[in-house]
Amino acid sequence: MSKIPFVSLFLAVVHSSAGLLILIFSSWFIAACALVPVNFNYMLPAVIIRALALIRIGAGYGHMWLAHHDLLGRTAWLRSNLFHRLKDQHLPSKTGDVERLAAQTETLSSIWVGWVSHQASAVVLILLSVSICSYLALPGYTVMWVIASAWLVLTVWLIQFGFRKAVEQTKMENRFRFESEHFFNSSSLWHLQLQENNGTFTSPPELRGVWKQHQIIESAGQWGLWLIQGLAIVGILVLFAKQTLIGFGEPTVLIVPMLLLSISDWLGRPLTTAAHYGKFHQAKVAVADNEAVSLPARAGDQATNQITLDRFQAATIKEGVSATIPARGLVILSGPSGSGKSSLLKALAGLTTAKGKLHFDHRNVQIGRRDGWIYIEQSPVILEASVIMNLCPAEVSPDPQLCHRAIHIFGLDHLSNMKEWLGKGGRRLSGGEAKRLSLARAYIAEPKVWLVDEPFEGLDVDNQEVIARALVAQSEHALVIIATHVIPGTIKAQHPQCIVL
Amino acid sequence: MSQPQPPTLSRWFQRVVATGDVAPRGALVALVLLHVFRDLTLLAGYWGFAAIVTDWVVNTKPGTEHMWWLVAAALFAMWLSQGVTLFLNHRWRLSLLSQLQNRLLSTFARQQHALARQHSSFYWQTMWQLHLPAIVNWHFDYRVQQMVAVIVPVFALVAIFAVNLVVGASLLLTLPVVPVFMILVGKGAAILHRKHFVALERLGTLFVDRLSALPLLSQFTAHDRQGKLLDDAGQRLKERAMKVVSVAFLSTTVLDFFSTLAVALIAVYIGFTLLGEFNLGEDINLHQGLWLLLTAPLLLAEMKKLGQFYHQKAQAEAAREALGDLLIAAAPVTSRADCTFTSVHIQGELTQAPMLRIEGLTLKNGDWIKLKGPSGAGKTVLMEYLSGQRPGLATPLSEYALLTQTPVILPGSVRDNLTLGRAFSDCELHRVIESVGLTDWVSALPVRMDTPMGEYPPISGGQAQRLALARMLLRNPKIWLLDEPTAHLPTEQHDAISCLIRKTCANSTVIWASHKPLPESWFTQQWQIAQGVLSA
Repeated sequence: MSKIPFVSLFLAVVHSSAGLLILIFSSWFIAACALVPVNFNYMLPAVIIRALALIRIGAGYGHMWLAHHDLLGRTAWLRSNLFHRLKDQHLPSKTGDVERLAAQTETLSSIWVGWVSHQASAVVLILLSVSICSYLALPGYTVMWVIASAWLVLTVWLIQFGFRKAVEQTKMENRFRFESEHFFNSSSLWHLQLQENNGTFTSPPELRGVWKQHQIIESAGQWGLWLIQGLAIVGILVLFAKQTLIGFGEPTVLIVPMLLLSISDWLGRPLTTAAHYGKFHQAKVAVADNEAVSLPARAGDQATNQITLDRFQAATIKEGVSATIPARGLVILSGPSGSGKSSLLKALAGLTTAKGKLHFDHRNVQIGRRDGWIYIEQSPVILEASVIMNLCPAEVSPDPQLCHRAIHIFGLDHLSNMKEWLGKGGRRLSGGEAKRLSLARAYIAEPKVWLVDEPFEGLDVDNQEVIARALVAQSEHALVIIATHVIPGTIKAQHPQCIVL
Repeated sequence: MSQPQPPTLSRWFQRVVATGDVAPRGALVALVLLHVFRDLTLLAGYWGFAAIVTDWVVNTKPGTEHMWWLVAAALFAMWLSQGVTLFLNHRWRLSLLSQLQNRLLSTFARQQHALARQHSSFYWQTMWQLHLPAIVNWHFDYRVQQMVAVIVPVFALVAIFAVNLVVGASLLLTLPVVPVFMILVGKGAAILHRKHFVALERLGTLFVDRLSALPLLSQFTAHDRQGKLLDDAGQRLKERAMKVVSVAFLSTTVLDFFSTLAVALIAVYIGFTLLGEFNLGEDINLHQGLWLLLTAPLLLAEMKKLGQFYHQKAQAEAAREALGDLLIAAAPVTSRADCTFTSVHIQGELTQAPMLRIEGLTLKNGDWIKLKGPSGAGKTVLMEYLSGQRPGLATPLSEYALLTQTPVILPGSVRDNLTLGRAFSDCELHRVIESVGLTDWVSALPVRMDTPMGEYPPISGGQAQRLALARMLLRNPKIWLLDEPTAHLPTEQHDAISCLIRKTCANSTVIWASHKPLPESWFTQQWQIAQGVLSA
């Protein structure tokens, strides 16, 4: 799929060449008709003109169709590659970065239809016109050489100018993103600053610079075309003023003036898009250097009796945690918000890099991701997919009975239509439903260790009890660690071990 | 329920955006006129050009001098007007963009947290980065081209009629066919698009969705299976999208068809008339023929350009939907800095959505008010209304400090976090740090008050709320709006911070919303919100 789309490029060139040829050939034809040379076979040119018209229309549609087909296929291919490369990695990005990455893949794959096809047409048309004019020694062919060299210089300049500006634009955009992220996150402080500054922000994020760079890139191409147009006008006037009388009386004499007059028709798109190359390059860089971070490596061994944490914690948290817990049973993790409960659970699940030591049955073991150690987030991810896909994201043919049992245990019987779509364009789950669905998903995976983050928050007492009972039942044969500051009665009655951070 | 028809894009633009001296109509008219002028000079230039070429070919003599001057004047005028258009377009575009940015910022300054908290920062970034330029592009490209695409063909057609009746009449007859075809094709594409809409939307968002779920997929070893699924989805997306676009592209092709065929048929007609093969009662010479050949494409060229800008309309529609009334210019926030606060009396209907009604209540200077009510009842809304972040109150409170349940810690230094850019002496800073009990925490930091907080501030939830409190204390506000400042904190922290607030704000006016127990003796009034009614 990374191949060059030759056919669509070829059709693009045919489309633009036929457009130019039809104009030149038609003008030549009527000039020839006006002269009525002896033995002038007028039927053939008339047929050629109509044939050219049909070729242009067909090639135009064909090019658009194929180019779009290619574009969609290329985007899918880029995304597939990217996705497979990101296996066991995660994007520690802020909101919106993933959407931007997806948009970049689209930009990158549009390079063929948005840039290469235009430049290829320009190259072919310039080569054809200059060589034909020179070969026939048409009056004014030197002007065509001047135009061709001006085009070459301008295009090269535009490409590298656009390239530089795109780098600057990306830098400014990143700065805006950083600044605006904090700007909006601190909206609850705005009133303080506004009261002190007569109702205006002192240094709000700024996009004018980005827009200006964008505008400069756009206008560079337009001014480039304007220059070439000016040059062509001078060329026409010089030709008309020089009056060398060579070739007068021949219909071919009008070819060079016609080419110059219609220059914006055949060099317009290529010149105005030439500076866009930088944009595609930036997209390529963004897709290649996505800020993905590998998850910690897989670790093999499992505990049979007890697990000891020795100043263990996620690497970003200052204080480690030391505790000894059984390999099966119920453990409560409590402490004020911000004390590192979630970080500890994630570190145990091997979803972030950790520090400290971990012992299984008194032997020091490697820290990392382990089979069956499953972290259930506070606000869980629900895939945009059917219910059953959400329950068994890895299975090709999931067991429906198991799925029904899982949703029953967590009080989600109303989701028994397993084919129902969740998310955009389908059913939207409440926060509580999402929580219970993620627990049901974990249940099906039969974890050895449940690492559950605030499962009871935001639920009514009945649902808290439903979840508590299910988790207590699991603690019979698995280790269930719950980070929570709400402890339902069922859990209290178990007198679980409690770790306070 | 029948939904009211949303106003057209231009009406919305005139009502919301183009008020005051923003986006004056004159600029739009000037651009259209320049554009039309450019095309008219082109017609004149073609006339001279055709004359000289005819002299070369048929009369085998150089062109006349006054024709040379006609070509020179017309083409240079064309070239200059093109340059002026470019210059003005770029200039006005940037100025409109920065005016819109200012409007957006002043809306943020008015509605503040009450507005910003409703959406993610990504939502606002998208609005700022994509929707504002979308409006500007539509205004300066699409709208101008829309008018040009109507005016220029009329002029060109009149000129063609003046030169040759037959060509003019046949163009006049075929021209209306073009929009009819385009509308038909557009309708067909829209029907197809609706048919595939849900599938296209689902398939389109799948990639972003799975990319956001990477850790989940890796925990459930579902990466490969989901990857395969994405590949299939990409394939199906392509198939469905191609069905839609293969019809949508016909629209461009129709235009291409007519403009190309017009040139071809005019060339053949003129050629054969010159040869004497055709005789439809009108004489023609090479000069006229060549001019007709050059002019005929102009009829459809402007419409083709409009097609290139067509996506701008869809983008502007999306922008209008997101922006709504956010760009309306309004008077700046009334500043009452000099006015001292004595009492506010509130009565009657407060807000539309969510409903909140009030039975006459009075807030006096020095009052301590406990605000109670289930979550979602409108406690936050009441505070936003009192502070003027929600419109309604004629003279909202000023010099207030709002403390929310999630303290904001900026990535800058502790000092920056406290001052927010305003000048305070070190002495003042130490005093407030002392009074919220953070002296030990600050002295333990590597460079004390100048330690940057970064993306992961080395601070616990309770400490963060203390720092936020210190930030407010520094400003010595007259009124405190406390919106569950201890909601996320455990009981001990709640007690400690509540006492701290009581101690430091005893002499101020306080409205305190809290779910957690607070000593009754602190408060002078108890307000309750239940079922949309606020009462004492």
